[in-house]
Amino acid sequence: MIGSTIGTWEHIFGTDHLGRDYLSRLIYGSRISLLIGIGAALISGIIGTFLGVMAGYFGGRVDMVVTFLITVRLSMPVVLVALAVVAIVGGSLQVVIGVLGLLLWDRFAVVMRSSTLQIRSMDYVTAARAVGCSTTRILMTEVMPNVVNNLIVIATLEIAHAIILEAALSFLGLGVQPPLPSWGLMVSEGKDMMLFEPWLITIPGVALFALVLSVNLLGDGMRDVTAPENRN
Amino acid sequence: MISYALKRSILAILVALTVSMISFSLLYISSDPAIAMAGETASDADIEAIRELYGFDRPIVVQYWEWLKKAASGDLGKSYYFRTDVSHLIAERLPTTMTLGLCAIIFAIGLAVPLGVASAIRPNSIIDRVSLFLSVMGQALPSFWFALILIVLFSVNLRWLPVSGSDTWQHFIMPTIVLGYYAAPAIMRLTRTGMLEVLSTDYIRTARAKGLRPPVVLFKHALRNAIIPVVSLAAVQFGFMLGGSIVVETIFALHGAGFLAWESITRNDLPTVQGLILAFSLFYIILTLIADLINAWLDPRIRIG
Repeated sequence: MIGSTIGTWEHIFGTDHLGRDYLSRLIYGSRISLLIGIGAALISGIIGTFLGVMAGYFGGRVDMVVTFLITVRLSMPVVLVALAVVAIVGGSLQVVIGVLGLLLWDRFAVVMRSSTLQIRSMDYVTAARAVGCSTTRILMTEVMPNVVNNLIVIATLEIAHAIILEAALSFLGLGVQPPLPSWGLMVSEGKDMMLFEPWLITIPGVALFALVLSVNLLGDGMRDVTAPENRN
Repeated sequence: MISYALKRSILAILVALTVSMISFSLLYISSDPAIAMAGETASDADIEAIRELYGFDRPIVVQYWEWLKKAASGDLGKSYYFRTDVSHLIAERLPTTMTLGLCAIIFAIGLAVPLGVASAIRPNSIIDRVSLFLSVMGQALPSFWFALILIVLFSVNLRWLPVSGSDTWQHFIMPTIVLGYYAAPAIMRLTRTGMLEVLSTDYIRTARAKGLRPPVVLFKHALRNAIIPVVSLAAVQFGFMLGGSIVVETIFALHGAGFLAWESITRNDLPTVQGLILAFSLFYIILTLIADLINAWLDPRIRIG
């Protein structure tokens, strides 16, 4: 029966309101969530790390400008701006990744800045400068390897953040467009029938919950592994 | 203190201006306001006429300056859809959102701080494990899904609470829970860490050695010091709730500013969207300014930095 979540051997989780197999949409939906999560985290990671390291290493005016930019970005209502841009430009996978990537860099910048500030005062950086290393070389070989631990932890957290945001945007209709099987879209499509077929919204929701939980736990685990307390 | 307050206030104004500049350019460059106003079936001549009448063919900087001058005197333009002043629209809807946000942050604090304190008093006990478990679960739960599940559970099956609308206080219960639970884990963890730190300090040991009763030690001395960073965090989370209110209010059909945002975005109502972005960001900026000033007043070391 179309639109029913009664399982048959042909459709293990049943079908959605258009007769498409639910389980395969669920599986392909994970591709979308992960793509958007990792893509957005990559873009915002590059932006945020660049800004943060520059601010932390060079200090002074650069630091002032970057801190001002971070404050401006923090004061912008992210959901509102993301919704508005997607509504105007049109929703698609690339647009969502781009918008989320351009909006979620603040935590990267803040953490990278404070880590770089710590590293800059270390003796090995002073030694490298005394030896005559160029700034680029110092940044690449001394600063980056030491901030990479924090970077990975923040990256996993931002992946989870981007996944939840994309699901919320798609749920409101202003994210990924049908017929792409985004889990947020599946919940929104199912909510018209949710009183009769509650599984239609439960299943993608549980999938989202499980994915975000796993990514969060991964980030927590990485934090525990890379934290200095655990080094002998 | 005065010079710190002055410096922070000027910074706040600059930030607000920059945010409005960015959002103005985003909105008016990436879409054509003449088309948005005229509608989709208008002819080219009509669109040109509107463009000239409202000055959309002028350079973007000039348009922004005009908007800014009007905004400074409280005129945020007319909504394309509702045909009323944007400032009136926002002023009408904002109280509902404020009420919701306030209830949500009180709910979050009421849930998180006691759990955090209890976990800190007995670390690694069952209450500690349960609170950490709940906080991890809470951060992974998508809010829109949680809202739908609550609706199915409480409104349809149990019939305890109404589904949507904003008439009575019962209408606010589920939205409060949905909006508030997301802020609770961070507050709980911060309270727990802060309390753990404070409880191992010398002055607490002195208080206990003096023979003060445990509740007095706990609340009058320990919690008071541990709560300072939590105040900042709570203010920041309150600011974020405006963003979260868009989803929550749309699902529960609460007539607040978040719902207005969704309505105007889906209808390409640019003046309202621009006005809302300004209102939301101003709110957040003022909130963090107040939180910073309170912090500086509580902790004199901050004023020197």
